[in-house]
Amino acid sequence: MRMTRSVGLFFLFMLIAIDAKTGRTDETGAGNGSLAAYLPSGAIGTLETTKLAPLIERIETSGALQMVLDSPQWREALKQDQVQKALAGKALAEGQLGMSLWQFAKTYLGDRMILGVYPPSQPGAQPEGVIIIRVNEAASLTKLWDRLTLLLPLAGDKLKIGDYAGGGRLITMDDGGLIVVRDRWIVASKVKSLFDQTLQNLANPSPTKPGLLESAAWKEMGTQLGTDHHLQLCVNVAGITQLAGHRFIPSKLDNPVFSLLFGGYLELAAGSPYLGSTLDIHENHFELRSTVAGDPKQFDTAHRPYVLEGEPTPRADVPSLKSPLNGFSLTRDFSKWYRNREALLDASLLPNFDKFETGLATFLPGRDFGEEVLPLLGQRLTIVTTPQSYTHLKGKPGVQLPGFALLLDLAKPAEANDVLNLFFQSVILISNFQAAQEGRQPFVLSSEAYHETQIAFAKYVKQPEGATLPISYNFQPASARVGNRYVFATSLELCRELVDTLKAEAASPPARLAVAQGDAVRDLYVELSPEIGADMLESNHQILTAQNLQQGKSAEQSAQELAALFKILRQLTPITFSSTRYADRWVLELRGGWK
Amino acid sequence: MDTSKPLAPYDATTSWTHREAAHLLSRTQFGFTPAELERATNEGLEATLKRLTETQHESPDFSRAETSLRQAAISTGSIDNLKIWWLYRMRYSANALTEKLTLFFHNHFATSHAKVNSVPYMLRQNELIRIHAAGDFKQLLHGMSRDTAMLIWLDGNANRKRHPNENFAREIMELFALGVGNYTEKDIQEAARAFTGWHVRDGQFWMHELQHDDSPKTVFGKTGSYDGNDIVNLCLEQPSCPRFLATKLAKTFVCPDPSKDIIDQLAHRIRHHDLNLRPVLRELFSSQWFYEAENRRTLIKSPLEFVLGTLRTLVEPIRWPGVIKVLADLGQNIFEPPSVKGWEGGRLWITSSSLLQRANFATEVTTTSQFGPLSETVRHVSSEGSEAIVSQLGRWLLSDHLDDTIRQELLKFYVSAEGTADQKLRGLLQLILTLPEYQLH
Repeated sequence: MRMTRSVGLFFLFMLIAIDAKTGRTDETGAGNGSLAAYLPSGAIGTLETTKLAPLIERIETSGALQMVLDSPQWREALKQDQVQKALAGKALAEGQLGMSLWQFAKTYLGDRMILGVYPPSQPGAQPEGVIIIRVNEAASLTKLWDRLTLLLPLAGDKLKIGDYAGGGRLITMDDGGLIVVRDRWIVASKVKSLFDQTLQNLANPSPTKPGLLESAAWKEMGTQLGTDHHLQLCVNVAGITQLAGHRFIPSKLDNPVFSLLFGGYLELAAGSPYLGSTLDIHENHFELRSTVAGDPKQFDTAHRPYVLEGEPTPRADVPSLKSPLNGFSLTRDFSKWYRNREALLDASLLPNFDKFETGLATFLPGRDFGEEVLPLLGQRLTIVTTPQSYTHLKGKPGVQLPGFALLLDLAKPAEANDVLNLFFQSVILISNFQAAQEGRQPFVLSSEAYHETQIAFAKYVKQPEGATLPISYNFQPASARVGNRYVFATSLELCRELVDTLKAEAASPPARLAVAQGDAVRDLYVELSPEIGADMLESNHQILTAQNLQQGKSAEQSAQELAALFKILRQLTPITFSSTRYADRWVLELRGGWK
Repeated sequence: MDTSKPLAPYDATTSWTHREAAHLLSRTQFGFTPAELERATNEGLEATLKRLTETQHESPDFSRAETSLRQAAISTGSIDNLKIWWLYRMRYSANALTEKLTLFFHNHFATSHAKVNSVPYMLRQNELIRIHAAGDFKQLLHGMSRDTAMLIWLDGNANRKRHPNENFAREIMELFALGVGNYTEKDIQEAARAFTGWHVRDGQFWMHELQHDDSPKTVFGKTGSYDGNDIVNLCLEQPSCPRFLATKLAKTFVCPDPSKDIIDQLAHRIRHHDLNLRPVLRELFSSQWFYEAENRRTLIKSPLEFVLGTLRTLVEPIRWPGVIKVLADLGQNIFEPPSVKGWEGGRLWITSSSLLQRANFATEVTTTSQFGPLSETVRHVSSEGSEAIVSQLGRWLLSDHLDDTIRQELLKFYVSAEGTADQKLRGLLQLILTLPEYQLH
């Protein structure tokens, strides 16, 4: 009964929304611009959706959705009570609406919607909000109204219906909520002043009071990001900072990796007028961007390591391998970042650096990491992963881990080469102690001249043999210096491939590197290939099956689930994440796609 | 009963009910499912014992799952994965008694991964035990003396010609074959020399001839140029060997304090069968003595019997990762026994702390799905009447040993409990699992 009442209230809301008889025509001439134009000024954030109808249509008819619905994972989820209840609710709603929820979403949520969030009226209270919905056409609301009229009595005394003085139907909820429906528009808020101002802005294209678009944050965001995105979030950073009386993004972070990756972005965000995020979904790919405004070159001394100086500025980039699984590249002034850690990181983290240096002393005895090792390195760190080759074994490990390589730019190549070679040898030595404890084969160091580059590598004294060797046999460490870059790889094959690739790309830069960066400097780049990931997972299917068995699943159930997972992964195209710094903003971007 | 011949056969034609079937299954398996109890009751003692003691074909589903779990353990080198593999076997293998005997000898030859540090070696030892657990003890003892994990565990590589290491020689006499009081320190010193050069190389037993002392040794009063095999054979020939085994078997499978008379008879049967355990076990589990009233529900369940037995009866399918943690918390961390003596068990399984942990486990099994959901069979019981529910659960969980006082208390609890039928059932299960009677089998 409770569900029926809630559903009834929802439908009643929609019912009122379509009362077109008393509504005015769309006299505002809203066009396709952002609905933020009609929101009152002073918002601390907005969330707007645009043209969702074609997107909903694509999702509804996509093969990917069908694949998910056919998957054993979904069949398993259907057994859960909550899913059953949700499906029952969906069926009930669709019965009352006379259309599927897909159709409902396309019809009534498929044009534009915006939620404006405003500071609370009293300290400590919840923020206030205004919602504006513009539907495709008034006629569709009329149809809905006709279906829902019968549900009106279910609302009881929860609401009152009347006329709004400025035109349209007014619903007054018993908790103070106000809803007005006018032609194609629905406006809702609990704050009368915001509500009235929004309706006034809707009625009058040249309002007496300045709208939200007049504020500095939205002006700059509109210029830098545009307004026609499927989803657009704007946070008025300057406004929130002003309200709080202090910066709400901490100046010292409590995670060193996060600091290294995003410390610059967050520092810029702290002084930015806005933080904007947009989502665009196209035929076979999507783009999710997050932008803050400002000039990173104005950072204080402590934050300068996030902005590289000097020419040429290295670009975060991943060498092009035959079978790339993952790539990661980061450019920073690592040495300065390390020296400035007291200013950049929470004090509680600092003792961990001492522990780190103590541990590292095992590998680099007698050298100070911050003062003697890091300055030898350059400003770019790159990691690539790829399916591992097993030429060092007679057989394969039972768990096949991805091979990976660490590429370090070198500021002082000759000196750095010696230090890193020492590090490499120490790793092998320590690995051999561990091998003795675990009863596995030890390594012996060897080297070869490969295409005029010297590669140092470890090999087993006696080549391990077996179809399912222990996990520790995955790797055969190898290292080499190619120009001003040092390569640590987990297999000789990968090291050789990187030697060839780095040399070829230095001699003849591929298209992606040939393009001048201009004022856009990419400082972080990550890529992931789901298809190759699926291959790797499939080669470990027995382990994945075992994990499922351990969780109580049957072997057959596990096989079905894994097959569905591999199929879905193989439908995806590579996913990339990047961070790019411009003269006036910093942009994070996630891209992905499907076949 | 013929008290002069306690190992005389039990006459199942006069009494073979759920009680007797439950008694047999609870001692020879890690608990039982309601279906297993019904089957054993219907098939009778002879057929059930034949099924328990003779090798059964494993189902294709079991074999497939078992292979995956074993492979995962080897490939990852994770001892937790190996533990789950074995627990899975204990629960689902068609050869339940073999698994219980494998645990018996895992405890007998207590070897810990904490020192061996190799999943493949621990697995190999476990499989060696499984092959011979219900078979020839002589082969098992010979196999263990050359087993890689055992040689690492008892420092085989340190046993050299000029510096004999007595670890293995001491344990084979004290813990593996004879027991304290049946050898001298001189026997150990001489036997240690016979095992010199029994080393491990490339993960395999290696007879390191250069480190073997082939000079004459005197052990148990006999002299010869003995090597390790000879010492094992000498131990197996000792009269104390079958007595040692008889005592352990009786205490593990029948009662905590077997009489000297029964041990003598059992030892005689073990020697009679030339240390081949299969016929001995058949005689033991079909003997009058095994079914005597005073020997029922007298053994304290080990953590494995308590946890796995509960899950076998109530839960399907089982989520395993939490199970190994509970077992470790309760004191029975398989593949990692506390010392060369293994788990002493008995009353030591119950402490104020472990009793609380058993109660916590009971709560988790009955009120959460951490270890998996209650099986369909158990959940369907809630559709029956109150008395039928109490009787059914008493049969499954207390081997039908439900005296009137407890029956009335359980009934009172169930009838007065609030909530849905499912909630009431879970409450009743939780209460039964925390009863002192449930800690026994």
